[in-house]
Amino acid sequence: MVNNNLSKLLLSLKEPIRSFSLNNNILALSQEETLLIYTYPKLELIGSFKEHDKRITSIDICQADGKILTTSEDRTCVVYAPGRSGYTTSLVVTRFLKSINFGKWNQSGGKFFICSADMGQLGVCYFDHETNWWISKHISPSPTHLSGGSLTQGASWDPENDVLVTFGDNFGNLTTVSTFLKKLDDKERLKGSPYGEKFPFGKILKESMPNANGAAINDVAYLPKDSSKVVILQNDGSITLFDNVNGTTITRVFDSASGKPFNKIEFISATEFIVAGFNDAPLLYTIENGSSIKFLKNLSGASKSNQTAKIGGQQAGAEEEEEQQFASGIQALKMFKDMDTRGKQQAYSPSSSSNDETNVHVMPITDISFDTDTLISSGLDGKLIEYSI
Amino acid sequence: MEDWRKIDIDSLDSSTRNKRLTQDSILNNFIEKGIIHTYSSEELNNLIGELSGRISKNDFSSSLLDIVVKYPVYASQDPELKLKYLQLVNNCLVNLKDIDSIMKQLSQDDADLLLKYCYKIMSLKQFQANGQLIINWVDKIIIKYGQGAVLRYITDRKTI
Repeated sequence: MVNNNLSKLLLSLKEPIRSFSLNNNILALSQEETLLIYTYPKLELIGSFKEHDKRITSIDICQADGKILTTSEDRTCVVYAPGRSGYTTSLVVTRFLKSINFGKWNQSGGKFFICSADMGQLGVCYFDHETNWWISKHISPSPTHLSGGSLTQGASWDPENDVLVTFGDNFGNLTTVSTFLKKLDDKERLKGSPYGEKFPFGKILKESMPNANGAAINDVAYLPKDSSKVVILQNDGSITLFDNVNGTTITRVFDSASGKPFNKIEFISATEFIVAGFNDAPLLYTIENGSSIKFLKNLSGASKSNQTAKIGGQQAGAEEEEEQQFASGIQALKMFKDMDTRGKQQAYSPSSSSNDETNVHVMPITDISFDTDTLISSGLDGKLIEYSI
Repeated sequence: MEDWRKIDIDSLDSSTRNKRLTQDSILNNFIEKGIIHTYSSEELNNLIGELSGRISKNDFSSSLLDIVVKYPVYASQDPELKLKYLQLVNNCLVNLKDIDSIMKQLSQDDADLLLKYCYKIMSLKQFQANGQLIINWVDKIIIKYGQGAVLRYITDRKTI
């Protein structure tokens, strides 16, 4: 079953694309510290911003009004509001001491959450009209709950009410909190939520450690039709369907073909979802009867064996070269010394594959985005690839 | 900005909230949460007695399936006893010749636990004389469960 035509290379850039977002025909993507804004599907460059002085970690475009949010390792966020004469930027100052890893708007666009590497704290930011300033409030789970976890990376808004947030950290803890703000949120939407009765700001509603193994959680997603259950991706390569209300694991599967961990999850229907990460290819899974997870197909154009055959030629050459290089132990030692003292990271430089115009990723996938029937993925190899499902 | 890698930014933070994790603190966290059971000397002695009894009868396969993969000894009050237990597990693995038939009866979780024991045994000097027999087990586990088994060993914070 060769269907290479279904995936298409959109962009091939010099630097790794660590995050991107697509909404209302606007495509925003990151190139280290720079944010590039394109139109979609024509891909004309309409804006380039360099507001951060360190690497951009995540980008999100608001569904309601098209505001763009970038978070960065320099501990700040920037909001880009669209206007008649282009985007106006405003800085969001947070009190986090470390990198901000992830940020996401809620559906109405009134507020967003940010995940930091600063002791597992979650920030909730909203615009205060009286002071004309973005305000960032922190939610800190107790140290006894975190048990050493500090870096939060994956988080998700509850699709039913737009108020509750579930996030995971690098110690495998899963926490559900309320971000209820009187001015912005509607109490009625929280009625009938399985997470409780009262939702003051910052209240920790659920705490659990899925699978009890302490493996870092890379991403979390609620089931679109059932907000009592979440799917989590862990660093041990597992995909877990987790009952968040009762704190029990329903089922846990592994990708037997590669066995590698996944970075991102995105639901495309009530039961079907796509995961992608270090296996370099997006995989389609489905939840059957709310109790089991089944693998459907690999979206990366060709099937697994084809894919390896296709890039096999290039890889075989590269591997031989590598082997020769490592034949001399001194050279290997030099390479590691270079990596250590000069911060060189050969393994993650896309320039080594700059001539590669194939429609498959050759390095880990960093972000995915789904819209009607197309999926787009970005990778550390600087590629942006479109798949039709 | 020279030597920026060597700056310990957490020491500049007046609170102690960003602490570096150590192996001991991770273990204590799991014990506090009730995920790991700490074996008292008495319990572990019973387990050692049972295991050595079976090994002395040359009943290696049942001792592996009934005891080693059922009762993981992550933490014990007496480190000496833990090492003694590890010695018995090592005996069991080294003397078991019919690996394939055992592998058929091991579930994925059992195999993951067995892999932890294998790596621990390989890391200690006194067991290295029989390294080739232990690596044989690692090999068979990887053949059956793929390289994901190694990834699970690396990421799992519950260590033997």
